[in-house]
Parts: sequence; C-alpha cells; structure tokens
Amino acid sequence: MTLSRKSINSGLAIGAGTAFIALIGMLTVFQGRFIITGVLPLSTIILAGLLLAAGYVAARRLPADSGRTSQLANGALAGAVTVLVMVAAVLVATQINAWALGLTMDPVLPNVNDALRALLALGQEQPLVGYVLLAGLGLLLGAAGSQIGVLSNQVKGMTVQVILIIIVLGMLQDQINSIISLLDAVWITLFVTLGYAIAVWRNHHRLVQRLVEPLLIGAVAAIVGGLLLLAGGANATTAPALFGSPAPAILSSFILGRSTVGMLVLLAVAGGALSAVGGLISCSSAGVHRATTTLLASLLTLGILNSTKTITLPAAIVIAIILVATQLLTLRTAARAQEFHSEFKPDEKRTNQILVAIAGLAFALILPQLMTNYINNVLGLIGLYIMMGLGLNIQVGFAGMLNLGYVAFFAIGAYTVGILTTPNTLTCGGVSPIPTSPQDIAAVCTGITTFWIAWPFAILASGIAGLLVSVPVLGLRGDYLAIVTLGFGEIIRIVTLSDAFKPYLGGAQGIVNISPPVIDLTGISASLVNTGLPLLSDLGRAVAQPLRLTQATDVYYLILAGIVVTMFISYRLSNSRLGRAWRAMRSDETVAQAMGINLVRTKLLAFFIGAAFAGVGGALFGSYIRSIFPNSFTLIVSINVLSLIIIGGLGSLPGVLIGAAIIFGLPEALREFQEFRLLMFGALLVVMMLIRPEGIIPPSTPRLEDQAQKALAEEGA
Amino acid sequence: MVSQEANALRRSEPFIERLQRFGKSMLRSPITLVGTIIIAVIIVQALSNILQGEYDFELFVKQLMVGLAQGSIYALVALGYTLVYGILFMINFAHGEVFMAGTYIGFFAIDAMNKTGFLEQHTLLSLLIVFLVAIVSSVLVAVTLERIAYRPLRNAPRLVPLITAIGASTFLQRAFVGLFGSSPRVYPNVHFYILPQVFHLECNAVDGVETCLGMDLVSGRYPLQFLGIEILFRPFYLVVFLAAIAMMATLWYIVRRTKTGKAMRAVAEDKATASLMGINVDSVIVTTFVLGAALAGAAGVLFALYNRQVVPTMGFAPGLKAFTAAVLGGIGNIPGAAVGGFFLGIVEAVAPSLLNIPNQLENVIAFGMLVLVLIFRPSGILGEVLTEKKA
Repeated sequence: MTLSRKSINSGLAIGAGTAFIALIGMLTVFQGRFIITGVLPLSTIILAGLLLAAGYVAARRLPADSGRTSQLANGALAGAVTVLVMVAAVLVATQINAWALGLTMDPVLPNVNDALRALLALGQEQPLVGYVLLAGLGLLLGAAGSQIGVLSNQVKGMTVQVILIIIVLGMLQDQINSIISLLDAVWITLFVTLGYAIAVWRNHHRLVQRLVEPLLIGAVAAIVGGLLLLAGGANATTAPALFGSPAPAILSSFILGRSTVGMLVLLAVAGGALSAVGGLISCSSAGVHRATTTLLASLLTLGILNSTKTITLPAAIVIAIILVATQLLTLRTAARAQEFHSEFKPDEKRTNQILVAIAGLAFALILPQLMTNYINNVLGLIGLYIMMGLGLNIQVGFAGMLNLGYVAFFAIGAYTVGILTTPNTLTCGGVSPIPTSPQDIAAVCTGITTFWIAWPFAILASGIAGLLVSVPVLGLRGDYLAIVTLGFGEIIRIVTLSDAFKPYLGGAQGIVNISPPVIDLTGISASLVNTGLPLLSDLGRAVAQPLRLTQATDVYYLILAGIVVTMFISYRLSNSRLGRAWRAMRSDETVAQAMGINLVRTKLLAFFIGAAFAGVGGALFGSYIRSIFPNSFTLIVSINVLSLIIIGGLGSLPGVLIGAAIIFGLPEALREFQEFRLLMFGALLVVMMLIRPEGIIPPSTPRLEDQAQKALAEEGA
Repeated sequence: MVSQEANALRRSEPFIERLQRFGKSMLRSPITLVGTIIIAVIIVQALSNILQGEYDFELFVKQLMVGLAQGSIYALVALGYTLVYGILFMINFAHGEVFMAGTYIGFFAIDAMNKTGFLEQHTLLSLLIVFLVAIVSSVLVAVTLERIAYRPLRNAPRLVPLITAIGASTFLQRAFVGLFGSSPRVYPNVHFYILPQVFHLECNAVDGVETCLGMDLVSGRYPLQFLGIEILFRPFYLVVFLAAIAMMATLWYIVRRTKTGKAMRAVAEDKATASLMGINVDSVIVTTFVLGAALAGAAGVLFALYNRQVVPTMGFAPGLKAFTAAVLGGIGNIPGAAVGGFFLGIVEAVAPSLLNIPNQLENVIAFGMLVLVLIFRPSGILGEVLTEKKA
C-alpha cells in the first residue's frame, strides 16, 4: 500500500472547489432545500458528491496495478484533505471577517456566518468535534469514492443519471406534482407496452402489419378494460368515487358524463392509438425508441410524484428502480428496433419517419393540456428560444457568420407588433396627447391593427434590419462582424430606452397593453351551430365569442406553429442550393466564390432569413408577454441564443431543440436559487464546452459529402 | 509589395483624377457613400454648434482631459484583448472580469490600509501595495482562466473558446457576487501630496505660519489658466495618462526588444513552427495572459481611484468598450489598441456636447463610430499590418 502525493493534490483541488461552494453560501442556502423530504437536503448531496469525487479522482490517478487497499487508502486521504481544505478555508474566512470588523470595514466574505460554521460542525456543541467527525466522513466517502472506478461505465453513467434526475425532480417537486395521476400514467404505459410487445412477438417485416395488429388488439383490449370497469360499477356518475383521489383526469374524462357506447368508443380509440404507437416504436430508430422509453418513465415518475406529492424516501427508491429498469430494457430493445428500422425499404422508412413526426406533433399538441400554467410558460419561453436558435443557426451554423447582437432582430419584431397594435404617435396620426379612453382610441387611432396584420410587418422589419446590419460588414472578417453586430444589438436597446424616441417606443416604460392575438370566428359561429352535427356545433358554440389568446396554453400553440414552420424552412434550406452555398462559404469564401457563388447575395440572404426568424419570435413574444421593455432585450439574450446553438451542436436542427431545453429549461429549474443561477449557467457552459466541444448533437454530414469521404477512403485502401 | 506599388501609383496621380476615382468608388459602393454622408452630417452639426457658440474651447479642453483619462483605461484593457487575440485568434470575453477582479481585490487592500491609517502615513507605499495586489489578483484569475477554460480547447473550432469565455465571464462575475456580496464598495478618497515647496497649494495658516501640503495628485482639483481660458485641472487625469503611456512603453519594449517578446511574436506567427524552434508555446501563451492581466489590474486601480465605486458587475461595460477600442484600432495590433482606446475615450467625452447627442444615447457613439471606421478601414485604424501578414 502506498500513499500517493497526487492524492493530496486531488484533495487540494476538489477541496478548493468545495471551499468555494461553502464561501459563496451555497451550502447554507441549500441546507433548507430538501430533495428527499425530511431526509436529504441538497447541501448534503453536494458535499457527499464532492467527497466521493475526491476519492474517485485520487484512485484514478494511481498506477493501474495498485491494489484495492492502496485505492481505499488514497481515496480516504483525498476525501480527508478535501474536508480539511474546506474547513480551513472557512476558518480563515471567519478570521478575515473578524479582522475586517476590527477595522470597522464591512465583512469581506458576507456569506461566511454562524449558519455555515454550524453546518460544517455537523451541529455539534464543540465545533472541533464536529470538524473531526466531518473529516471522518471525508475518509469514509473518499474511500467509497475510490471504488466507483470498479463499476463499469454503464453502471456509472446510469447511477449519475438517476441521481441527477432525482435531484431535478426534487427541486421541481412543487411544480410538477399535479401533472398526471398515477393511474393515467400506468394505463398509458400499459397500452404502449402492449402494442410494442405484440409487434415484437409477431415480428412482421412490413410497417403496416406492425401498426395495424397492435392497433386492433389495443382497441379490443381497451374495450375489454372498459367493460371490466363497467362491471366493476363505474359509470358516468360513480367514476370519481371508484378511482379515489387524486382522480385520473384523462381516464375520467372518457367516462364522466358519457354514454356507455361513447365511453367504449373513446377507450378503444385511445387504446388502439397508443398500442399503434407502441408498434411504431418497435421499428423506429434507436433515438426515437430511447426518447419514448424516457417519456414513459417520466410519465410513471410524475404519476408517482402525483400520488405522494413530495419525494419521500420510498418514492425516491421506486423512481430510481423505474429509471434503472427502463435504462436496462432500452439498452437491449433499442438496438433491435434500430436494426429493424435500417432494414426497411426507403419508402417505408420515410413513412415511419413521417408517422413518428406526426406522433411527436400530436404529443406536443396534447402536452400543454396536461401541464400547469407555470410549465406552459416555461415551454413557451423555450419555444421562443428555439425559433431564435433556428434563425441564428442559419447565420452562424449554416453561413458561418458570427452574430453577437441577434437580440436586436428579436426586439425589432416585438417592437413592430407593439407599435402597430397599441395607441402611440404613429398609429394615432400624430395627435398629442395620445388618447387614453377606449372611445377616443377607437375614433382617433385608426392606425392600430390586429396581431395578424402586424406580424408579417414584424418579420419584414426584422429581415430588413438584418440586411441593413450586414451591408456595412459584408467584407469584414468574422470577429469584426461579431463586434459590429454586438454594437448593433446595444444600439437598438439604447435607442428603445432613450427619451428621444419615447413617443414611438415608450422609452424605459416600454410598450404596455399590447393586444393579444384574437381569433374572431363569430361570423361563422351560427352557421356551424345550425349544421346540427355533434362536433361542429360544439365548435360553433365555442367560437360564439372572439377567442382572445392570452393564456400560456393558447400562445403555446401559436409558438408551436411558429416552430414547426421555421423548423420546416430550416430543414428544407439546409439541403437546398442556398444551404449548400452557405456551407461552401463557411468552409472557404474564396473557393466558394470561385465555384460561382455570389457571396454578397448569399450573405445577405443568410442575414435576412436569420433575422426574419427572430422577427417571428419577437412578434409572438410581444403579443404573449403583452408588455415589452428595453431591458428584455439585453446582450445576455444574444449570448444565450448563441450558447444554445453551440451547446446543441452548431448547424444541427435537433441540436437547437436540445440546446434550448438545456439553456432555458435548466435555469428555470434552478430559478429558486436566483443568486446561483447565473453562476451555475456560466460553469455549465465552460464544462459543457470542455467535455463536448462539438455540441450534444453534432450535425450529420450530408449524404454526398459522406459518400465522397467513403470513396476516398476506399481509394486509399 | 503590390500594394506599395499601387500606393506609389496613387500618389503620383493628379488630384482631380484621384477625386474622380474617389467619386466612382462612391457610386460603386453605396455603403461608402452613406458613410461619407454621415460623416459630412456630423461635421456640419459640429461646425454649426461651434459657430452658434454652444461649444467652446474651454469645454473642449475639459472634456479632452476626461477623455484622455478614460481613453487610457480603455487602451490598457484593450491591450489585453489584442494581445490574446494576436496570439490565439480568440476574443477573451472574460477580460473585463479580469479587470474587475484586480480592482475588487485591490479594494480590500486599500480599505484595510485606510482604516489602519497606513494609507495616510505612507501614501506612496500604500498605493504601490494596492497596485501590486490588484495586478497579482488579475494575473491569478487570468492564468487560472487560461489553464482551465482555454488551454484544453486550443485546437477546437473557433467558436468554442468564445462560448467558454462567455461562460467564464458570467461565472467570474457571479462568483465575486457570491463571495463578496453584490453591494457596491467604495475606494477611499486618497490624498497624495507632492512638492509643497513648488506648489503652494492646500495651505493652512495656523497662528500666522502658513504650511502647504503641496499638490494633491490623486484627488486634487485646481483652477488653471492658460491660453486665455480657466479650467479646473485635475492632476490625476494627467497621472493616469502618463502611467498608461509608461505601461504601454514597457509592453512595447517587452514585445519588441526582449527574447520573451520575440517568442510571443513567433507564436503569433505560427505555433507549430515556433515550437519546432524550441519555444514553449504554452508558457508563451501564459506570459501573454499575464501581461494583459497585469495591465488590466493596474488600469482597474487607476479607474477606481477616480471613479471610486466598485461592484462585481463593473467589468462588463469597460470590457465591452475596450474590446470595441481594440477592434477600432485593428485587433491583434498593439499600437492599434492604444490608439483605439485613446480615440474612443476622447470621442466619447467630446462628442455628446459637440453634436448635441442626448445623454442616454452616449453609448451609441462607441459602436456608431466603430461602424463608421470599419466602413472606411475594414481592418481598423492600424489594422493593415495584420492583414498583410495574415492574408
């Protein structure tokens, strides 16, 4: 057994990190934040995680042939050193604060306080006893950490994943505990699994057979289940009593207030559709397969959370088991599904992909109905950033033109809608003062339009702004472009903030009371009701009043539509003549020009289209938030959008989705910890770039380039 | 070579022909035309302001002094951007935070010395200590940054280190808020008196005996008459300017005349070849970061001695401006950064009242000027050297 000096170094390095976390007050704040109710606060998880990491790193830096005792001893050493460094740092900081106090200075490190010292002393009367105990814990956890290396990569990855998911669930538990009831989650999962099992068992090679059999059997099974429910005494009125609380909202909606036949039909449709989805998944690519299993696992998890309301210890264990089981199952099945998928004929493969896209879209349509308002807001925000990400992806990812002022186009979109739909100097024909009462506004401000008329103008305005910015910098190298666009972003913000343009842009008070998009179908409402057909007359009654799209759910659909359109345009562009020109230009401008690409036109188009996408996002943002202020359009938004496309994988469309979810989902999840949000965001950006510089989903090489490379390789061989 | 011949040819052209050629190029590129029109408008506006008597020489001198001091700070920070860019071709977005780190840690040193009375007794020594503390802190932050965030990514695509730098910038800012709190801290009012025999200033008459402290170099403001105008002269602005010039001269000497500088230039030219010549590329890059950070730390203390308030978010705006200055002068070009910094500082100080620009739009000036300069000189004021070498 040898104690290595490197282990002490590992302990020192991780100790420094731990000390930092203690000194910024993270441990004390997170002490009150329970991940597993009453058992495990977040601070403990962080501290334990760091000690385990110390042991793990120390053991990894040992020579490969060192024995287990050696590993244990070095791990324990690193763990103890970590604790010592942290305690020492806190004590030194305490002393510094005391000195500063003696000199009547403000405390130097305000977050080092009694609460932190008590936390590190493990609540002992005598601090020293506590510190020794903590060091003992360091020894133990360090030794335990040294054995993590023994586990296989698969187990390691899975453990980390499960722990991270439980932490996120724990942090969000109040937001997500009423999304779906356990019973709903279970029956949905059962039907999808049923369809999947049937498809795998029958093992047909045609896509149609893989879909139709599960569909029929699933429908029959659903009817049988419905009959059983009826036999069990469930009917249009007694269902709630039967299901107990919390009631399965989806299942109840099939039964409550419906005739027996109606209930059975609905059940059959739902069961059949879900089973068909199961069949579809059994022959889809591994990625789709994995996404679905993850989704089902999350449904079950959310269901469990719904029945326990907080994460208790048993709930955490059950969730962990479900997650691990899903992972293990997926490992085997995903590969087989992929095999099937790749054996399909091209047209069947295409049909499969379209069906998957439709299923995904259907899911995205149902999603907001299940979610709370808060989550819908977050989803809407993510959606807006997806749109911006797609636009910036065209400029930076496709055309390779770095833009650090992208927010300007977003702002222009939002402000255009804001100006055109509210009373101001422009829309009121220059009268002063601007009328305030609704009658006056209606009489004088004839320039006010609706959202539907305003948004094409927003797109146009943003696009033209994109052209204007790119014109002076066409000949510049990348970094000059970056600073000019950055400057442009700031200029737009300052201009909106200034008093000089206040009559139009509202200055620091921004534009408030922007009217929401209104769908006015009152004209055809009566004729729809008169048709007498069940669904159509329902619809007619629903639109008897103009629909004001003010709820997060309503706007979600608008944003979803925006995403689908921009995504489709991006996808079609990426392989078009223009897209290839952009890629060529990104690789080498001189060669591209020699190949006959008009650089000016290509660059201008990239800026125009990219800016127009941001205009769509801005227009939706303006009518969604309904009050826009210059401070919503700071540099940080541009940086966020750039970060999201780079994290997702520059030039990759699915990467934009993932990147947006990470950059905006995660900070939302961390919103409670306002003070540490940006800190974690910054650290995450750095770590992410260090681990995966090419992004999470790097763009796939286009087919022709791929073939060319293969051909080259074969020639070489 | 070709461009030299072309220049020679151009010089030999008669004036009228040159004017015609200029006119043709205007027509060919509408951008140049728009740029020229804007500049003409600016000149007309300035002239009309001057002729109407709304702007006079006194105001100009006053603003020039402030501008030179602010410009010195920009120039010193801009040098950090340009040094790193010259070698790594990367925008070190976190340089503003390096500037902030030195200034902020320096505060604790100067505050402690102020509260113990050391600052009053040994002002020069205290100031030296503060500069040292600030420089060392900035250097430590910059070197750590390079080691953790940039070195592993040296061969990654160019956008990747940019994102890391943005992340590091956010992280550093928030880390300082987390460690030291977000409330502003205020540098003490420093009085540093020199030469009481020469300057009969800050005098006190006690029992008929007059004792003079001399000129207060840091906080003093003295009326000064010259060329028929009277202004309130603040010696510290001059000190900042001279200190900046001295530091730039030192940097120029290091880069041009020492072996380290030669190694830096070699690495900037070609990393692989430089390493074949026996140059340790990593340590040269670290030296670059050290030099840039030292200048930023010193600039930070100079800045804080007249601006006094320090907050963890203070690095952002000067950082952005300094970056603009670096681009203005031609990024990667050391004299360019200095010129760009002074230029930006002076224009920012002078332009608002010369052109009647409302206060709120002051920040537009920097970027507006940048666009104008880039229209006429696409690689910055002194950017030619770099483009010829790299193109």
